[in-house]
Amino acid sequence: MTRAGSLLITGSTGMAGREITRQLLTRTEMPLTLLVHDTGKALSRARLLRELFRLEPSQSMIQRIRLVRGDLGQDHLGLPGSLYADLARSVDGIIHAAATTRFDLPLAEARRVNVLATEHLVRFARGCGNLARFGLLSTVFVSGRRRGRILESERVHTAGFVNTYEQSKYEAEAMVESSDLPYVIYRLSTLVGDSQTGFTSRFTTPHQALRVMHLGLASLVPGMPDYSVDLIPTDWAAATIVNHFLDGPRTGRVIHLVAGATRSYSLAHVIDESYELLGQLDSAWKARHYPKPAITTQAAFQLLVQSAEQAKDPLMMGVLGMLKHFTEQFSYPKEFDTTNLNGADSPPHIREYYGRVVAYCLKSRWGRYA
Amino acid sequence: MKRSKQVRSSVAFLTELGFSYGYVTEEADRFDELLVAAAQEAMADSGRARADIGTLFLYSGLNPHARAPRAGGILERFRYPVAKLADQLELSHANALALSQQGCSGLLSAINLAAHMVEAGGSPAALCVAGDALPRNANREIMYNLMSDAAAAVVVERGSPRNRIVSFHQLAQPAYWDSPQRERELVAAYFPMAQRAICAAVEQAGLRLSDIRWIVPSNVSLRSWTILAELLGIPVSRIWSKNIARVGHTVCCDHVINLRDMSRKGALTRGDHLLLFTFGFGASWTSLILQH
Ligand SMILES: NC(=O)c1ccc[n+]([C@@H]2O[C@H](COP(=O)([O-])OP(=O)(O)OC[C@H]3O[C@@H](n4cnc5c(N)ncnc54)[C@H](OP(=O)(O)O)[C@@H]3O)[C@@H](O)[C@H]2O)c1
Repeated sequence: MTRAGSLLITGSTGMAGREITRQLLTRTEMPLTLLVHDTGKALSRARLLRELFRLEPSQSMIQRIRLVRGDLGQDHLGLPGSLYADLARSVDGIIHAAATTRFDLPLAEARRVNVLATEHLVRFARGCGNLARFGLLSTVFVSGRRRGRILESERVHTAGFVNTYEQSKYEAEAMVESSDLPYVIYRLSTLVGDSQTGFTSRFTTPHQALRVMHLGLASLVPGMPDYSVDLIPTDWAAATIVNHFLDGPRTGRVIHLVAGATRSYSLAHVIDESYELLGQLDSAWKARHYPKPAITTQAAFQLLVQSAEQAKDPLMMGVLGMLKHFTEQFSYPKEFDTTNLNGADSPPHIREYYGRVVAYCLKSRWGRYA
Repeated sequence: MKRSKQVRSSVAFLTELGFSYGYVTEEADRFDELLVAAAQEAMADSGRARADIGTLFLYSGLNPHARAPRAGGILERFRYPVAKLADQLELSHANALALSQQGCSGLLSAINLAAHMVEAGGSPAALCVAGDALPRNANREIMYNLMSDAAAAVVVERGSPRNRIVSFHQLAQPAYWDSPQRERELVAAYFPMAQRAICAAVEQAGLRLSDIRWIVPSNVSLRSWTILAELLGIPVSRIWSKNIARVGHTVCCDHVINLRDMSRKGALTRGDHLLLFTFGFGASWTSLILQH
């Protein structure tokens, strides 16, 4: 597929989208249409290649890229009518990686980006006469507050959600599922960085949690000590998606991209390792003798959050506010079925590359000197 | 206090944290009277003859070096409160020594030290007096806690029939010595370190948490004790918290005040294991387990 036409990528400037686009550019000869929103909208293709995709822009690579500036939240993807129609003729594959990945938005706002934008894209896709495949990036946490084994073949549940992000992604999946598109849904666990270099283009919750530990402000973490913290390397996830998208035989299915318990640390272990690695890599930090946070109940954690809010302590509110929107997951242990990943390489064990991620966070001061 | 800007938070917030009252010494000179009164009551309560008391410790948690020098020249620095107290208590034969700089952990450390001394021989008893009055119009809210002025005293005796010391455990983190600079980090470290210090003391005593009849708290916020109870997996009802609202948090007199009130209210039964816990600037997390 997509040898003659063009592959449309949304969210190519995001954490997952960048790596997917980078791999498509380096591993294939395919023409790509990148729908960019805010990030990179003022950049030329050459600068985009260099600054966002970390690639030396060759003439042939530049020519393979078609840049369109749009907004999925708008009708017609925020594109002029002629461009919209032109794209519908040329696009034969779509990877939809645009989303809001913030956990703290009001539901209406999360829906506006994750559901409404997906609806607009589905409408566009329906008009693409040659569409062979529509890939939606999603999260394994559409399973919300469910516990236990989560099958790829099931989505519907009534357990509720930990945050509006989970709920809006659940609803986006529902919409894609009910369309008549040749869809594949890639449900990822949590991207943590490049397995070879530790590089990450965005510092998301695992990195911010590490930062809180580095600042010596980690006090309580709600959850179960043996909860399996499923982290996956960005390069592995992107490669798996690209391979599957290009060669995968079947549509109309969901694929879990997870490390699984055997390649993950438990919550207690990931805290131990984080302290161990920070201590090894930063002797000044080690001399500050920060204790590891205690793993506790939701009730205790909520009381601490309440105190920081009532005391109007901006720093602690920031720290605890960041933690509170995702740590509730640590009380809902899950095991993700990976039947549909069938044949794909497994990701490395977190122990093989977590040190690189921690080192990258430290070296870049969590993005300040990236 | 709110009106005189001695507390910054709203009354509603402080109430929710568990505080209703705070005690303020109006006249600095009268504070000495409090020390003497507390010491005399402790001595009378123990029934010990003055001659049995070989050591007098006076503990103060506020840093005396942080005070502005008073008029009167260098001799002012040699005007020792502990000598004055020994004189007032007619303990001229006792070795009188002032201790400081362990914040709220200080009195428990002084008791531990005194216990080692009386066990080692010599005089059979030591008197530990403690007290702090915050400077006039000082901010009385420290890390979400309402501070009171107070004095307290205990007699530590060899072979005491009451409140036998079962274990003392202190986790020190001197890297946190710069309290103003590291206030937020101390707030964050408080709970994990408290959990460790309490569990270690219980283990050292060969007990389990369920063997502890009462946790005798420092009177820091009830909210923080609720969190700690949850962290330890014990019911909050096992923390004798009645004095948090009534007395507030004193630098280091809370446990002695609470123990006396527990005894008066009939909360203590012979043989009960009691765990006294506190955090002190410096920083240290200290547990003392007693058997009543
Ligand atoms: N990162 C993870 O650990 C993770 C884990 C599980 C699942 N996922 C899924 O993977 C996908 C990508 O996540 P990510 O982490 O790469 O997200 P991200 O870094 O936040 O990037 C989001 C991308 O979406 C674009 N975007 C947002 N609103 C848009 C709009 N209205 N129109 C067009 N583009 C818009 C952003 O562009 P601007 O910045 O210019 O707005 C950005 O390129 C999401 O579906 C997410 O649910 C990610």
